[in-house]
Amino acid sequence: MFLIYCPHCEEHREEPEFHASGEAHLARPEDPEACTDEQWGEFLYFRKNPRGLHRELWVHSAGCRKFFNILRDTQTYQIHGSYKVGEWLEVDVQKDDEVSSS
Amino acid sequence: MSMTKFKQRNRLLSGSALCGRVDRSRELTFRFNGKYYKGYEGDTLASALLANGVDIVGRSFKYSRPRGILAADVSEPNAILQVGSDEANQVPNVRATEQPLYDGLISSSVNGWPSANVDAMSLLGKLGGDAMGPGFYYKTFMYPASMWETYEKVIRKAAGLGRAPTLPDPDKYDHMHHHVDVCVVGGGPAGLMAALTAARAGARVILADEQSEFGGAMLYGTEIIDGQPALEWVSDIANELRDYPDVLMMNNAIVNGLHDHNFLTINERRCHHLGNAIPPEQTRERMHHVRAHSVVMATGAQERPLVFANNDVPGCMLASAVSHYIHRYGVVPGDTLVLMTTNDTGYQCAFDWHDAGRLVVAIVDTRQSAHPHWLEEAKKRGIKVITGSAVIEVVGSKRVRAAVISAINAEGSFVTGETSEIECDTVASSGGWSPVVHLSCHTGAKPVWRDDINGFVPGESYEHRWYAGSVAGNHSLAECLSDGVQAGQQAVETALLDAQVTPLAASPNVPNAEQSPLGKSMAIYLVPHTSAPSRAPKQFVDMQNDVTAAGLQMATREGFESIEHVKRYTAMGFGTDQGKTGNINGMAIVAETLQQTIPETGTTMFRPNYTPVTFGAISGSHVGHLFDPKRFTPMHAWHLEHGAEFENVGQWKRPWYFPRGSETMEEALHRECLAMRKHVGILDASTLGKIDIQGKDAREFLGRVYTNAWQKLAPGKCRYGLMCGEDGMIMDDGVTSCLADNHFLMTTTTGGAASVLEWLEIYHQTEWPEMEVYFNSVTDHWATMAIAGPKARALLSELTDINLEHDEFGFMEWREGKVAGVPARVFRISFTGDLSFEINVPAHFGMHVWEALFNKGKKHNLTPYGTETMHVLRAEKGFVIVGQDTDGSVTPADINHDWAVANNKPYSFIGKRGMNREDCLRPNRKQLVGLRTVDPTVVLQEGAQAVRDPRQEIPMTMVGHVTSSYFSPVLGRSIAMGVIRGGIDRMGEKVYFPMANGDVIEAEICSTVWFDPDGQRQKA
Amino acid sequence: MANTDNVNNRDVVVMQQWTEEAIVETIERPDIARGVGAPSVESPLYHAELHAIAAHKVPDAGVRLKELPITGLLTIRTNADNPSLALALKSVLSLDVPGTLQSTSHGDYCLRWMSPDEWLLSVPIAELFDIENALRETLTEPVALVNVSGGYSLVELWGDQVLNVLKKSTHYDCHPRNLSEGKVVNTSFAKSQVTLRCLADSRYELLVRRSFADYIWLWLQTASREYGLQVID
Repeated sequence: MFLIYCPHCEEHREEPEFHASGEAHLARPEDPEACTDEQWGEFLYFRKNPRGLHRELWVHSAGCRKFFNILRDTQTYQIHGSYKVGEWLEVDVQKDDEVSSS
Repeated sequence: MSMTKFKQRNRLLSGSALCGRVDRSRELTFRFNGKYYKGYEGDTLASALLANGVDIVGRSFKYSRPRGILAADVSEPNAILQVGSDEANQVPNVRATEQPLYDGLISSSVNGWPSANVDAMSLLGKLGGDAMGPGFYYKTFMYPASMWETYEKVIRKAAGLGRAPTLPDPDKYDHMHHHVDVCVVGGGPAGLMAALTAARAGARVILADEQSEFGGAMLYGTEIIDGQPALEWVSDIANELRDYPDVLMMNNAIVNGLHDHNFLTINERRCHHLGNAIPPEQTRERMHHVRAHSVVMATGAQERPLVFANNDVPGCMLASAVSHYIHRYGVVPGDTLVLMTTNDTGYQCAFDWHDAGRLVVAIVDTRQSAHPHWLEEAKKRGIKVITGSAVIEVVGSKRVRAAVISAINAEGSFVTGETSEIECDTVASSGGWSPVVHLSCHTGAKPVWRDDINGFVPGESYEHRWYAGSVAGNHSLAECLSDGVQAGQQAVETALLDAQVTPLAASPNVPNAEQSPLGKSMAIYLVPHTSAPSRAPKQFVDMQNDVTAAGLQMATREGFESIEHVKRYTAMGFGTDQGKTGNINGMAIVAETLQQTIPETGTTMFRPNYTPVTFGAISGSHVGHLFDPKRFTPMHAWHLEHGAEFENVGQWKRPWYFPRGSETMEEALHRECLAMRKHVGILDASTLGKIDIQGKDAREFLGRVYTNAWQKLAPGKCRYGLMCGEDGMIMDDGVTSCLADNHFLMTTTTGGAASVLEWLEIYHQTEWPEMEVYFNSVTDHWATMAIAGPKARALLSELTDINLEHDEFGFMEWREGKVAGVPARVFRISFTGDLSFEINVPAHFGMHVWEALFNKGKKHNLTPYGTETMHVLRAEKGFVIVGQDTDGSVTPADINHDWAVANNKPYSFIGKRGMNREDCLRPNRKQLVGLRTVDPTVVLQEGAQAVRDPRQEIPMTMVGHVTSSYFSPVLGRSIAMGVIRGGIDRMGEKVYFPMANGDVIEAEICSTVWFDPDGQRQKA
Repeated sequence: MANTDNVNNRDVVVMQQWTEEAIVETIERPDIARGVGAPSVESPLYHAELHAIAAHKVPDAGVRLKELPITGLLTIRTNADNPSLALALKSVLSLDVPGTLQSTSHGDYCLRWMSPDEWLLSVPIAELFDIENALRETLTEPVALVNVSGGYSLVELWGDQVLNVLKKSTHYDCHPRNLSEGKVVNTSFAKSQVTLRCLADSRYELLVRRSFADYIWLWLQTASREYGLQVID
């Protein structure tokens, strides 16, 4: 059971208050009509699924109902940080420093 | 029902120095395998059985060998018993060493036929034993394949452990959630000091220990701390800790899992000592969920037995277990002892045996030389010590009769010299101590091998975890105590710093410990024999699953070289004890056989749970009527009073139909359908999702999430909306009404309410945050009741100030006003195809308005109807139900709803690109059509598959299936909808439905609309 | 029907169940004849007959529970930096804007932070209509106001064992070090969700969605069984 920091409520909460919404930063193509079927299929179905750092979208469904992003290691499940939609979070995994930027 | 004549022959007399910690003033009676015995309060079932001289507690899993008690704690592999006085209270596979004794306890072996003492299967084990090596299931019972089911029955009867009860569990369980600064696992010397350090600093602490008392290994030792006997010191510490309001101390609490981000699951056995006499308000077990900032693991170390020939004969025990029974329970499990040890701690067992007044025949030290301190102690007691030797075999079958001893070389790899046999009835062995690392591995950190202690210690992790005492390889008492303080200090400092709380006090001083010196131990796992393992009598590595050293070696010869493969092929470590006494030995033997180092071989992954947990504890209170929330509408009490039968729609209870008197469902439906179409019916529609949408961009937003056009929908008007996913497939539908230019009320299906709200939010928050619009759920705020039928207007007009006339209030419009004196919104939307008014009032008025309608409704024949009637009536009109007639693979075109798709909207709405992919436009897609059975009395089965040619050979070409099917009382015949390939262009064609019973039902493809095709009735 | 169980005085009620088998008698509402005359209201726990249960006195009850009467509830949505927000709240309700996870109160009015752009206001129901109109006049776009009065049960829970009941129910850390007076959180509760506000030491307000109210009521009875539950009128 994860312990997740909600950047909107500004505190840590237990996983049952949230649910995961897949890979983060999936931008809807600006001009869908200009996409080929293959490109649209990539947008619909293809995901990075990395072994290691993964940026994922979560929603605080039982809390403030806001979406936000998490940077999580899919091997160790270590959560390096949470950041709001529209922002970015970098981590230096070697030193585990966090440098956040908007 | 005869009382046994034995009077606890192995119980030490009270008054002696080693009389144990049981309460002799409370004598208890219990039953095992049909015989009655006595014990005391404070006993475990195991200590009581040993006190009474019970040798055989069961038969082994595969070979059916008689087995006795090996250990004194959770590591016990053999004493797995069925416990319970009646059917409902049966608990299978209880470890006798963990079960507190209570008066009236009834227990039995889980296998052994006709009894554990005389077991017929053991004959098979003796004869077939060699043929029952690892993987024998795969090899022996494979052919012929048709015989497998017969073999399986025999195997099931022969193998297996306890049986599950056939009646519901009468006991209660629950969960508790905690947040602490420091969670300390293990209440021995290290854990107690860590907890004390954290508590004095003012932290929130949980200390959990698996035993019924704190003290850990000191419960069976002779240590002195700060000048007092260890257990007195423990008592002082525990008393201090109990006084802190933010410290929770738990006994009989096993930390079963250490999960991500320091989340611990702790299974507390609260009432196991009470048997069936649990007070009604108490729970039998409680699962604690603990979120800890810092975790201190002080779980200690597990003694390993040595692996030698016939090491499973009853009377073979762990050395520390023997001491445990003597010190804690006042029980000596035999008369004459031979002790074999690879290290100094083992000697204590022999001294305890001797001091308890029984005979120690010899101490056999596998090391070439022993520490003078221990030799001296042995000499004082007149105990013979044989060094550089080992017990290589045990003689006996139902109890140890003698030990075969031989000199061995310095590395312990082969026998040197002659063997000799000495009589004894107990062989205790100590092969060394394995740190109990399991919890540290649960989140994936592999343990690390240390040659200096011949053991694995916890590996590194990014979590805030500290390890104190034996688990870290620091076995001396002095180290345990100082480790505890240090770990506690680091743990609490980190925690309080993050919590921005100032520590209240400095760390306590490390107490002074007196303990005998501990020299180096010898690394020996498999004791050599005069014959090779494949020829010598069985040398057991895993007792519970009957895995021998020879079996492990055979597995590697067959090519299984990864320890994970060896485990699964041989079943080593599979049992309820999860290999606590066997895995390290087994892994070392595999390493030796493969000629690699132990770190190269590694261990298998430890996963939760550390010990078995009952389903009751896992379920907690979430059982019975609390299993899942049942959601109710404001009018539910009325439905109950009027005899409704209910169906589950998600978590909601919706009236399904309202049988009158002794009506069957068919009769009720008949009456309800006709009543609605002839007079007026009423449906509680409160469960549908309702979302309030406000903002200047609300209209544009709707246009993007729905397929339809919304730009021109004026205030006061309603429109049916279709919602698709980005793949173009229908996701949800509902009517959305314009309340004001910036204000809309969206309805969704009952099941889709939560997911649609989240859908709107995800797009707003992550894709179009610049749009000014807010979404709020009002599903629970409104009570919704739909009255429908030719008399609906007449009925409602008696209760409302709204002008209901046809030209004043048209179809697909809504009005505000009062209904039964209550502020209401009334919508002219219809799911039945008849004149319909959907009345929405704030939910606290729901019952009042509903009943007001019935007061006036009597003369109009107002009839309540449920979901089944609703389904039939809407099917008569060809209205789809998303999730029933669609399944996530259906586009608007597939259901002939192109009219709901506005392709000229400037924004590429959600679904537009998706539904125009090549596959969505191909001609032969499944399309929604009506299905008219040739025989009007036959009702097609939902899900039935359609074929074009009923005489085609199997496999037949399936061209679609039935999605909705009913008998229509209004039409007097069956009606159905389904999806058929290219159906829309195949009107009039026949399709056939072959059923499982051989019938073939013929039907004609037709329109989905069966009643009032021009839709005049709803527009009345 | 409420039922009091006999021997063990900790057993206040047999579970009030919303199952098909449970109700055998008509619910009596002594004040109003049904469905005629002036509108009558039912709170979400009306069916539980708390009034009758409250008459049964439980000695040493560790937990006390009360359902509040129907309350006016208004959801206010706007940007946190909307300058009209603070002004509107002050002038109409004499309330300050609460910070993240906080609440502000004045007399019978209470405003709860629910999310960065959402607040939940409670007022006496009779005043809601006028207050909503007044706020509409004073708040500037972007804004949304939604009456949600019908959708909740307001339950107060207190007693020396109330923290243990909360521990059995929610994963949220309710220790006073974390959940102090005035703090309000939305969190999971049993298999549902509640808005939980700390009113004072060992005293809490739960906002429960109407359709889940029966489930939460059953849950609270089970969770407080070992401590004794006294329903207060």
